[in-house]
Amino acid sequence: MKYLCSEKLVKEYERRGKTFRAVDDVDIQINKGEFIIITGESGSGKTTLLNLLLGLTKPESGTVLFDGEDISTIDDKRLSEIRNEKIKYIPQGDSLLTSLTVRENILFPYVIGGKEEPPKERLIELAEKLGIKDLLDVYPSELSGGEMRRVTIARAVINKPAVIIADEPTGNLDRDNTSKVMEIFKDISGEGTAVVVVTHQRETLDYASKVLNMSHGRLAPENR
Amino acid sequence: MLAALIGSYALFVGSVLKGSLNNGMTRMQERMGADLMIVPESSEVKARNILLTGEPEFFYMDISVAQALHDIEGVECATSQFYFTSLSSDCCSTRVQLIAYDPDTDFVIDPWIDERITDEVEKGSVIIGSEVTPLPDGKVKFYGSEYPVAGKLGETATGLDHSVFMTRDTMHEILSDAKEKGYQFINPEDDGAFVSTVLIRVSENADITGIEKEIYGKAEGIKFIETDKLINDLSVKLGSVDRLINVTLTVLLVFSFVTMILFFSVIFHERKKEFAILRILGMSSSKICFSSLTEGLIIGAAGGAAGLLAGILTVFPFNRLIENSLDVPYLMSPLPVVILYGLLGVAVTVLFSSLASFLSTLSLSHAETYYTMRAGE
Ligand SMILES: Nc1ncnc2c1ncn2[C@@H]1O[C@H](COP(=O)(O)OP(=O)(O)O)[C@@H](O)[C@H]1O
Ligand SMILES: [Mg+2]
Repeated sequence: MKYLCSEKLVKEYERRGKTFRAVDDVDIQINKGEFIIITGESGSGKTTLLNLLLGLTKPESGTVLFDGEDISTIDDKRLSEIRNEKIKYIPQGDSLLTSLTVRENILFPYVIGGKEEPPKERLIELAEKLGIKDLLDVYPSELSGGEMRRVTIARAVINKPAVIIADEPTGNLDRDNTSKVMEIFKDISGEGTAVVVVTHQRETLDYASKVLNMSHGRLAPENR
Repeated sequence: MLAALIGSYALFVGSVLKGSLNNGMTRMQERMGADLMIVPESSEVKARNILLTGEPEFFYMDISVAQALHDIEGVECATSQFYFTSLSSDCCSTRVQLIAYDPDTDFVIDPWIDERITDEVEKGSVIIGSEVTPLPDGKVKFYGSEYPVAGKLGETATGLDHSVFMTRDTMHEILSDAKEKGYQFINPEDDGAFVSTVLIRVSENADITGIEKEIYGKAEGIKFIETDKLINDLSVKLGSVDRLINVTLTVLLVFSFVTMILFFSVIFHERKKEFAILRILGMSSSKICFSSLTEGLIIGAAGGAAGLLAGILTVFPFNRLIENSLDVPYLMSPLPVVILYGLLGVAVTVLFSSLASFLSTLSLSHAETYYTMRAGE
């Protein structure tokens, strides 16, 4: 069953007065429980593709469908709802709100959504699994890079979303932290969440159920 | 916040000043009962001082001037007054203008009496201007003798607010006391022979220049002050003060608005990343705009209130100072009007800062790059 897919997705940017395709005619299918890794050189269009899948940028042509809904045509309110509940994005770099504690950061999507009560037990369980239980009342400025990453992941997975999209989540992490993070992704994909991870690190490819390669805006299956 | 403060401060102080100037002008116009004032040729400036600044002056001329007015066509009524001064040590905290008037012919003072304490201005009692403070026992004291107060005038925004009015008899007593103490104005024995000014009201459509010519022919060493001209001169002066206030007000308001826009664009630019995070976590752009609008509102209200407070602290304590330094009639607007000005000032700043925050958020949310987290770049 397809959760998220794109058809003939094209995104153009301008460089030195010339337009070029940062994402060129991309078809991607993301199914339930899948663990997809996208690799590719820097500048090949990976981040742009993720932004398109989240509706954060509008494509020049092509469509993105989520659960049958066309992301490029629905209104901002509905799209925000989807991002709040269904498709979680872990952007490149740190994305914690500095004025909130770790606990508040992790539960913040519930504050925005305003529908469900924050799951206190799941928070503890998750924090334990991610090794950040003792950090819950600490502010992000006191955290290391690996800890921040894990908090961001906790924030993304806490409500067991349909899809998780992560842009170089292990970019600046050591080997130990990298495998910890990949293990967590593996686990949640086992629970039915579709996971898409962009990475440079070839040693992580084994975690994936499918590996894709991006080059000059084009996406193709990786031949290994 | 500071910008909002400046904005509401400027608005409040500016509008109070403008309002009070207009108020003063209208009041003065209302109160100018006479059309013409005859004064000694050499004392024109002194006479203007009495009217405009309340600076006490002393001058006189022969009473024959008053007599010269008989059977001049166009003179509806005329009355004479005599001006001299008190000592600052007497009472009322400063030297005041003492004015003897003639209750029988008077047409300028009587209509201003605001608060009548006794029915008649008895021999020995006086009428005080609105700014004159009597002694604790309710009397006033000049050259050692005390005089009961028979009434008080309403505010006129002119120098006459600092004057004390009396009959010729009382004047005679004061002059005698003064002489005893070594202050010689005119010899009290001859005081019936002098006046300082003759005030004239002309009949409607009378030819003022013609009347002046006729009087010039009968009396020498005199000068006319036309109240219409006086008010006109003041209007011109007032106009320039008013323009100055307008320019200052505009500059400050524009400055405050521009600063607010800059301020909000800077803080929102700094929070670009924060906005992007909120978008990714599923906050809708309308919600983000709304929360920054609220923020602008709060900042505007806080700054506006602070500005209003600063304005109140300027306008009220320095009321006198402003009045004296402006050299045009200034009379504080009534309190409800002042309150209205204050509310207006705060409202405008709140509007400004909300608008500024809203505009800067809007400009950000239109930029596509603002949504796309390109961290590290
Ligand atoms: N907002 C933008 N404006 C202009 N060019 C952009 C923008 N975003 C990305 N690009 C360009 O598009 C190409 C793909 O960028 P990106 O998707 O960030 O690559 P990757 O994530 O694979 O490193 C790059 O050449 C980049 O310079
Ligand atoms: Mg990238």
